Amino acid sequence: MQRFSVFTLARNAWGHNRSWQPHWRSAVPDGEYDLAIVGGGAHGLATAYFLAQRHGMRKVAVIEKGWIGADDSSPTILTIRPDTVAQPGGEIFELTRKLYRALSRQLNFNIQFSSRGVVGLCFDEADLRAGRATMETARASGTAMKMIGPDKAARAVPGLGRAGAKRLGLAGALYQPKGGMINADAVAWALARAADAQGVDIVQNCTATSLSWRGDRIAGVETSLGPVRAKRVALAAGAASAALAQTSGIALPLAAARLRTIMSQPVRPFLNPVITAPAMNIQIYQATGGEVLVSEIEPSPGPGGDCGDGGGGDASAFQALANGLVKLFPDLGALQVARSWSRPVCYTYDGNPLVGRTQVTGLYLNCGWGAAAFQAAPVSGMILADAIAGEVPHEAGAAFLPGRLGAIRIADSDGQETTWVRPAGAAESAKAQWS
Amino acid sequence: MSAGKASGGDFRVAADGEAGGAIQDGSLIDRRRELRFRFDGRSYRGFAGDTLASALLANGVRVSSWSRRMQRPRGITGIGADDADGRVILRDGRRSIEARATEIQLFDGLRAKSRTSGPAARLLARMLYGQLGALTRAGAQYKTFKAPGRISWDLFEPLVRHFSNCPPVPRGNASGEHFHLHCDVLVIGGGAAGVCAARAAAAGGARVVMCEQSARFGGVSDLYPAKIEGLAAADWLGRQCAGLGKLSNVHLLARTRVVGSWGGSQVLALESCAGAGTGKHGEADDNQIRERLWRITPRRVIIATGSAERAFLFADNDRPGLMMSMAARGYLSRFGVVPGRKGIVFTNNDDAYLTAVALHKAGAEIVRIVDTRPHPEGMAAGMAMGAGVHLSFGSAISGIETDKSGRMISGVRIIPTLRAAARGSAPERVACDFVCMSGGFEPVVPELGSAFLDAVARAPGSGEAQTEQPGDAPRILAVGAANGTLALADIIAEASEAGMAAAQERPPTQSEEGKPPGGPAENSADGRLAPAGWTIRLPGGVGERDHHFVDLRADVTVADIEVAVREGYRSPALLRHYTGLDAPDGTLRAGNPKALAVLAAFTGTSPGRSPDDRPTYGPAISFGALAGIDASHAREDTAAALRQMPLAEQHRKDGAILSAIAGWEIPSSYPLSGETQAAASWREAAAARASAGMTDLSARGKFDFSGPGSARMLSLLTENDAGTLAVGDCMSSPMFDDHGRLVDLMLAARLTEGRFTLLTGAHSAALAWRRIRALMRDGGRALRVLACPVSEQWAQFAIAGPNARDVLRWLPIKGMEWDGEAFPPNSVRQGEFGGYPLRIFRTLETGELEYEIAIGARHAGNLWRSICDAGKKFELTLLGMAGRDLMLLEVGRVRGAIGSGRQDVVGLLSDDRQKILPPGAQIVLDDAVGQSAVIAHVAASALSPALGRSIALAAITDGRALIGRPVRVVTADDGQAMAEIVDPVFLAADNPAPESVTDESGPGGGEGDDE
Repeated sequence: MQRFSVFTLARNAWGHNRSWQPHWRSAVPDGEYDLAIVGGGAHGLATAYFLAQRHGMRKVAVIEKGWIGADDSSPTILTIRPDTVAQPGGEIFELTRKLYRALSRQLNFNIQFSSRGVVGLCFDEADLRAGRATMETARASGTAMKMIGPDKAARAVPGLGRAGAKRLGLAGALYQPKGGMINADAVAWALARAADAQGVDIVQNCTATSLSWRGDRIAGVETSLGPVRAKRVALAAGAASAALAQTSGIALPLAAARLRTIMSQPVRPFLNPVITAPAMNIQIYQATGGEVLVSEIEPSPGPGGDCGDGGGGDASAFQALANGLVKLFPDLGALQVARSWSRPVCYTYDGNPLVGRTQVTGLYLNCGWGAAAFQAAPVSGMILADAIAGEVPHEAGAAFLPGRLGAIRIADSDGQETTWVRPAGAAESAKAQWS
Repeated sequence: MSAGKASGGDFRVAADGEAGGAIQDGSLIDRRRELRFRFDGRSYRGFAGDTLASALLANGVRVSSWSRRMQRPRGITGIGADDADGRVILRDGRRSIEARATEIQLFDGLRAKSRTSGPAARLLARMLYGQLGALTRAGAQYKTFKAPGRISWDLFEPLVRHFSNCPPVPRGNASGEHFHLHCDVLVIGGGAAGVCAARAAAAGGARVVMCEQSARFGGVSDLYPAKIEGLAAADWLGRQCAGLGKLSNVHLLARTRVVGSWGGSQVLALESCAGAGTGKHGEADDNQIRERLWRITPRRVIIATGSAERAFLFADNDRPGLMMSMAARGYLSRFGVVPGRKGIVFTNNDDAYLTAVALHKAGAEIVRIVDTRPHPEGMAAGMAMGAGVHLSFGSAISGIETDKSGRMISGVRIIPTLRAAARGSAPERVACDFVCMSGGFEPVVPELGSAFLDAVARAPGSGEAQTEQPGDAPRILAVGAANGTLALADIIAEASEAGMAAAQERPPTQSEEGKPPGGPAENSADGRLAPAGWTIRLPGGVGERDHHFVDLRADVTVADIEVAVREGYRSPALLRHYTGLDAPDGTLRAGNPKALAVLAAFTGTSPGRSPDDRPTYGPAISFGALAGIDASHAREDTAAALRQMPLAEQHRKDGAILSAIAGWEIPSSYPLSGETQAAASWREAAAARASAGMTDLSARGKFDFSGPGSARMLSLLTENDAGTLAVGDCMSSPMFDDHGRLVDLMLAARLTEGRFTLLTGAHSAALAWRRIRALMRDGGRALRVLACPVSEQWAQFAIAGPNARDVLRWLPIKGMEWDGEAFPPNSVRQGEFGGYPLRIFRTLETGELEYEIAIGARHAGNLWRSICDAGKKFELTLLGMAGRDLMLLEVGRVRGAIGSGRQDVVGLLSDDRQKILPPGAQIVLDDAVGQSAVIAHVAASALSPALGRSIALAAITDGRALIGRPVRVVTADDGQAMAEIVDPVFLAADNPAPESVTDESGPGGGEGDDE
């Protein structure tokens, strides 16, 4: 791996920038792998990287249907908010934040984690209740977080001010000084580069079409570039994971939804912290380049779901986002929209993801993250890597075991549904399963 | 050159320069009306009808802005939305907004300045990207500042943010009305193709909507000498438009930009209203509506968005004084402005010869036409030679030379296009002060998205997907230049056929000379990039590549792309993310085709569009316009956003503390003098339980339903069978939010056989209305129901307490039976008070004997005062929302959701009776083996007036099974307390607990039936 530093920049500049190497090889699938990972996003790449780095497992292929870190349907800059800690396994978000801070150096690539603080606005009793619960959990695990009063919150959010706080009936805010935002593309590139340097094969522009089997053991993945043979397969392709599993009749307990973002034209910096308003389901932040991003915190059902009005499709969801921004900052009404996305996500009904091994021999999952995908990507990769390597992963992983949601349903060739037997007390016996 | 010195600038040609010819010198300006304006602190003159860009050019102002990253001087290159980077900061009252100089209509007293971060930042940028340019290629920011310690990104990022030359935050209250339009044929673009398509479709009887983004229809037809039916093309098109405007089945929308579809079958189009937006900013009033959002549902779409001229790639191709050929011709023809004194035209097609000849005749000397084609065919060359212009065939411009400041072109370098001929010979230097270029034409395709294409492919309204059969008529057609057709006669034939076919819902047939109208996907994928192959020949010189700009907005050069490609970022999408190419500015992305061509040259693939590449046209809509008029109520004027109850004044008089609850200003308590709010709430709640209390619940969500389908609608909404509800009965049903959490109990009441009303809490009214609308949309017509929100129309008061009935008996309501048998819990009666209708509900919210009385909002004052008078002898107390919340807590309820849908709400009693458990505190359960687990958080807690001790609620998974277990309640600050899990209904009243009432109690079910 070509090391990056100010000195290599200078040396390359001297050589007319002609000796830069590709950050990762464009591999073609070759031979049998110990593990094939479907999905070259941050989750899949982190799994590959940590498998190689922590466990020396290098016969790993990452299969990505497009290019690494080039998904146009998601924002480049994402927020890191350890504010979902109140769920079981929630400590993963704070672990991730700490890991992100160290990752730039570890991967020798600036992933541009910028901790500018997160202000979660509370407008009513229900918001305050949720905020207080989050704060207590966070502080019990040593995360800096505090509740601030409406006056302080108004001061923390420039452009809101006391008049705005009064107008909106601001009741307080949950302040996380260490949260912030990160360049999602850079994370994927950095992980791909580091994994590649460890010997992982990163296969771009390769679509996985189905799972292949040897008896009832998984034997690899069929792809648009031909079969990829592997002893184990991990699905980390977000919303596409369920569809791929379905090709073998495996129904994963995932539901699909969409997460929307509107990005503005770039403007001079005016908003330092990340602003969230759970009551309006929006978060607002300004990227390094000056763009203001307004996005949904929780996914909402896609077109045809119960939001939106006659034929408008996503339009009313986007309208709600714009409405939220203008409600909070009436002065920003003239800000121009530059782009908007609606990105498919999938989630489970208990809100936690599926990470770990399944009842199907050789099949592993790292999906169902909903909107929280990036809040936990590298640590989830580490947990799955540990599980695959047969070690006891961090205890946060116990809440994410696929088995907790009951048996995975399988339909056999003549359409008869059979079920894999659910292991007794999945969550409790997490450690037993893995050891 | 016949420059009129005193008439609006040095570069303005005389009015009669080419009278009688097809090209008029200044058709849009009124030379009798002179306007004054200021730019960068200097004052200038222009004419009425000028844009800021044309006025600046007329005055010889070259630099209109400084680029964002490298802070290089930039000028005006286009004439409309095609301009690359000529954006200025417009001062409008006390606000500053960034806008394209080409789209700002000049007005008297206009003040504007160029976008810059100041001389210090320019100096720094010149050093970083000039002398140290080799260090700061694409990706440099990923290779540095990686340490988490002192020299970190945290430290560097604020600097990056500070020095980037972004426009100021536009302040102001932009908002838009939203309108809906349904039509058979939507024509996007009002040029020659659009007008002809609309005309043909309208003649076929279709309902037609045509959107044109500029103020006038006709596109670029005024820049060509062509004639139609004996008239100049522009005049003929003008007449057609005037005729179309009179038809009842045609809706013309000028100044209207199609901004996208956001899925669904609607096209959103934004109209800048006359006298605002891009118009006369000086007169704009803060409160006026500046934009109008049209939500158009078309059956068919005809894309007639024309084409954009492509730029060439050569060294310093961003210098002020470079202009697109068509734009230069436009400035001459429309505003009588020439871009300089001495120019060079650089082209690979015949179109630019028209520009050269026109400029030459107008007095701007064209010293050379540089044509990349070795042997141009056609009349154009002869025409130019006839005009006395010197031609260089098979040649190209390799670089621009400027004066020291970089703001003024001093000459160009010309080389032969053939490599063999170029080798060894020094480039020819030709002096000039402006350059016009034309690298061919690129279809412009609006960004509608594949979701929209899918949606339009279905029949609107049916909701069912209909797969398109091969013989079916296509729903989307591109015609004219957007389809690659450039000759006017072909455009007219093709567009008319497309319009006719769309009206008759049949596939278009191929005319004899022209090609058939095609779908937008086909024409955008064609390989007509760089026809002569020259534009993409990469410069050989090492230092040269960092001045070959592929994207002027983002300051991305060929050198940046080279580094990115070397490092493996080889796809358009990757390139965009890695280099910051194609920075989002919500407009025509001029850099895109060039970048693709360069990428293709580096990777050795054929230039074209990859499937993930975005079309060249993006949305341009403000957040305010997208949000709509509703959001504009949220002005900074203090509490305007909070809804006011009808009796707000009365409450203030009564000494209420008003606080914001669920978007309303609601009295939270009525403290006596010297009393704290908490003490007041306690007193009110205790008094209500002792005798009676009255609360203003006007903020409740109230919805009326009428029609035969009302019962069915309510059944769907409440998931209870509303059909079995007798007239005069109510039923209460739980309402869950999208996460399955209980947020409220709704009360559905049957007023008459076909008339229902639904009550919700203030906090859940919005959710209820959203669900009602969703049901109306999915089955409204089939359900045959009318739903109407009447929250603000009715005022509603709750009277709760053992004496509630006795208080109400004193009211003059005729024929009202208040007794338990006649008016049982969960029922509704209608009455009259002072001649106005009343709705009286008997409810079970607080666990007391309770009634709610609703009356028309305008008559609420009288009723309120009458009840107060009647209540005097019963010591009726005014009960604020905080006091009522205390009463609700005693029966195990809170406002809004707690926990998740799968959790049980349970009560907590602390061992210390006076210790209020802190909300949010962790609840820790210790099991027999000594293991402990956090099972939940305290949701709400208070000292209960009725019980005289502290109580709390929490939502716990399988919480009912834990009743009776001791727990620890732990906070980070406050230490821990011991508590016991109990039933959430603390107050063992005689009344049934509201939680358990999900089915209706029969008329016989009086108080004290349950439990």
